[in-house]
Amino acid sequence: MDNLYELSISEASSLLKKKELSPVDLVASHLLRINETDNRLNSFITVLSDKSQKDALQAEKEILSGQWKGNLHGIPIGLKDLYYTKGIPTTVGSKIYKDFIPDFNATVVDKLTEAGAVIIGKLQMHEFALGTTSHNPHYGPAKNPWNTECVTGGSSGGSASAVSGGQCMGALGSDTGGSIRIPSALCGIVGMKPTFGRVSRYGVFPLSSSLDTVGPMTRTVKDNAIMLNAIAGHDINDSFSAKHSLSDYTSDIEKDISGIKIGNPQTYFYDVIDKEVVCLMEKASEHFTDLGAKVEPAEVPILEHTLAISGTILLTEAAEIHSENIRTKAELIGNDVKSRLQQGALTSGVDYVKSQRARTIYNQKIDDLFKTYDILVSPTVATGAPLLDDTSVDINGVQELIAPLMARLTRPQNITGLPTISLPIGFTSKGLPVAMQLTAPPFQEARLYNIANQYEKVSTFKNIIPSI
Amino acid sequence: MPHDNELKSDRLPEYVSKLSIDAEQWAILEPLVRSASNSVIMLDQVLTVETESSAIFVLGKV
Repeated sequence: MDNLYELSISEASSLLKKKELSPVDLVASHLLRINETDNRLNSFITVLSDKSQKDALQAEKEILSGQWKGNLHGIPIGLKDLYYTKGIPTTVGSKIYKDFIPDFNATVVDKLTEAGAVIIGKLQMHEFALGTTSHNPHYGPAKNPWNTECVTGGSSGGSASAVSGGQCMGALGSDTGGSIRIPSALCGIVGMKPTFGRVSRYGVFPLSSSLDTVGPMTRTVKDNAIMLNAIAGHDINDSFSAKHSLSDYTSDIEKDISGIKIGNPQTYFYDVIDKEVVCLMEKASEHFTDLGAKVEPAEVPILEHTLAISGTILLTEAAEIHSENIRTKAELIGNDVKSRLQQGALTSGVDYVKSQRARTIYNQKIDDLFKTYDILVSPTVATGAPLLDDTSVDINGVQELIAPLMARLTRPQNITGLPTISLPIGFTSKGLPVAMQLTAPPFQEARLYNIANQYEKVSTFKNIIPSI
Repeated sequence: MPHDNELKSDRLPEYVSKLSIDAEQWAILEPLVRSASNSVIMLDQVLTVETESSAIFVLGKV
């Protein structure tokens, strides 16, 4: 194969295991791809060229001597630049932390390394992960591989553009209000926000302690399950880490899904949405019906309050984390992020507690829904990727501000902490990807991978790398 | 504002968390803060005095 970067993780892993592919060649192919395309995509803040080649050589020696570590051995993976990496700059997409070099690895970075993955670089992001475009004033905007004049979405925009553009085979993002799912949707890849507590956040620069989750971004559902297998599990260093038992997330992905009940919430998710996205969601429902699933309209109570709940909690917790930065270094923070942090600092304690109480009620309502449905389906983002310089987008003749629109459909799942996977369902008439998201009860990631994989098999959208 | 910080549009909030916000920035922030607070007031539609306040101590744990 000429372009090794076009392989999926599972395809490459199979060849690596059989010693028919060298990790050195695989990593070299991705470094070349980065070299050829990153002037247009701007996915990377730091490329670990020397280190990744050295680690690939080590992986090759291990595999050749019969010490194959598993499906990620020798696979080039990127990290959003908020994962602590020992001895390697970790900017959090900010000017304030441009010279920050951690002296330890995030737990998930250690887990990936132990699984044999090759860390190829640190990826672009919205400053402090507090935004949905990845339009970064300090490191430039990450650009969408499907149209480099469009945003990637955010905040894990560099992770999405690097995976979508064939610069790495998988990446880690973080999701507090949609930051894995939004860029995955706009860049045409698969993104998993696992159950809150399923994956350790130790050594991941925080944004909002009660909402933050970390998870994988890949070009196929199976690749995503492979990555979650490597990073999931309890961590004593993360006080919110769950002790719930682990699954092999790839083991059930071929199971028949006929007979499952899918709830399709109508109000809120379809109130402000492009007609083309609605059309693609209807086609996705037809695919599920063809697979033997039953898709039914569902009523989700108090959804209309979820933006108030999540916005108040997110910004208040973010302001606490960045309290010193906004008091003493505000001039170093981009205008949009500075305003959001200051807004959080000015939120009253009463509003914060009220939002947490409302959150509990919402969570109870969603729990009740899963007595009727196995999973819920909804669109991930209400439109295709907007242009880089736009501040609003036309939705059926009405101009909608991009910032609130991007996260409108993803924030509810952060309130509940429920596992949610976003996967592509087609393209707009402008050739931009559109996605749906599937939500399951706590710790049922394996079920989501099963259903998403069955969908992916009947769809035409899998492991497609656009020409850049 | 009905809540504890008692923000007023004619008074800069230097006293809140020792923040220093100039008039130009406050002009951006004031409508955002007011709009967000009004959205939270709407939560009274779903909250009752019986709602378990201890929910705060299980912050999103599932």
